[in-house]
Amino acid sequence: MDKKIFLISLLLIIAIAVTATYVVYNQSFLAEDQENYVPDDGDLTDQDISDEIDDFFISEGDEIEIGEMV
Amino acid sequence: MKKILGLLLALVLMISASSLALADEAGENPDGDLEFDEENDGNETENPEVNKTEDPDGNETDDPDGNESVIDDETEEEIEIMNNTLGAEIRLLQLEKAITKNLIKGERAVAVLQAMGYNTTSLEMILDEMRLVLEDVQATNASDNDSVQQFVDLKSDAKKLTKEFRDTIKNLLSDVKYRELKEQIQEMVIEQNLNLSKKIQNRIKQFNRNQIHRLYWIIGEENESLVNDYLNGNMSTVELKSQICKMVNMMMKEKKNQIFSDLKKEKINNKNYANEEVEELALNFEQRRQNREQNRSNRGQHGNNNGNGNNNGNGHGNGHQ
Repeated sequence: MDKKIFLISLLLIIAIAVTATYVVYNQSFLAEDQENYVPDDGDLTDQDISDEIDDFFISEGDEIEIGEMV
Repeated sequence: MKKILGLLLALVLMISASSLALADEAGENPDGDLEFDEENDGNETENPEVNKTEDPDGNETDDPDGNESVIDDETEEEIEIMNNTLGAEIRLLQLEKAITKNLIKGERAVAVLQAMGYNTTSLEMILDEMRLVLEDVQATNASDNDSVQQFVDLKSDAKKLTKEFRDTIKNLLSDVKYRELKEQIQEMVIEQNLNLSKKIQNRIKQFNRNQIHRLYWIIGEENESLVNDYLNGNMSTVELKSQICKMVNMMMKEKKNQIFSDLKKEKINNKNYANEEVEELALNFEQRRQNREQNRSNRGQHGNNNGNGNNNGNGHGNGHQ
């Protein structure tokens, strides 16, 4: 009888541990989705901002390349 | 006691297996979307079929793994703005311009070769097919749901035909004569494209105007005079970007970080959109190509039977005018 109780307890502990690991794992992903993209040190250079703003617009000289005929 | 030990061992094995399974999922987020890291902005794709390389002439080549090229990285980047009608219209017009330019250069090359006494039948057949591709681009409506697919497919066809044309000429001429022809053709000024260029510039201005307003919304400040100066042609895109950068760089650190994150998020969303489109379009790419080629072959025969000439002009029921 004691052995059965011991076994059931052990199974429960393992099940809880697996569930807890899974929850923590998922939450870390959710947190990653919502976190901002600022570097860890929190210092953005003017160039960082400039690069992002550059990508926000299309250059008027932008063209599609399909190769040269000759 | 031995039974308990056995059970414990089995459990340890099970837990190890589940840990491995969890670790395997680490490359994907819960939606199954790609995870973009900071350093490469998500330029890598999950699907090996869509990791492509290009040679300097813009030709698709096989990737190092030996997979046949389907959709190149450049095209994927171009798709990023096609999640709205104006963006799709810009890309379709740009494709139309590129094909028109190549057709005119191709016609010129054929005329030169004919004057030199070469048989140009195979080159003319390629140009005929290219004219049909151009018609298809002009007939594509930017607001249709399949405009991205049309763009990807028709761009791929145009690249393929351009390469075929170039390879055919290379086989016809000696290296010296080929270089002479190349210089002659590349010096050509394509005046027919001026109207298209103006139309594209106009659409890009509209697109950028919308982007300025989106940016103002993110920043939480507005400067209408910048927009007006840009639209009136008193300010170039470069100057406009520089002014906005100055505006943001003068802000408090927290506000700047927030703006940076919002811009980055928007860029990643666009990249995700393009990536999903490319992965979906890569699935039956070859089948669609065969269908289009068959369709163009039928149209070509029908045109010949009716004695119709080819037309690469701009008279078309264009959905993206």
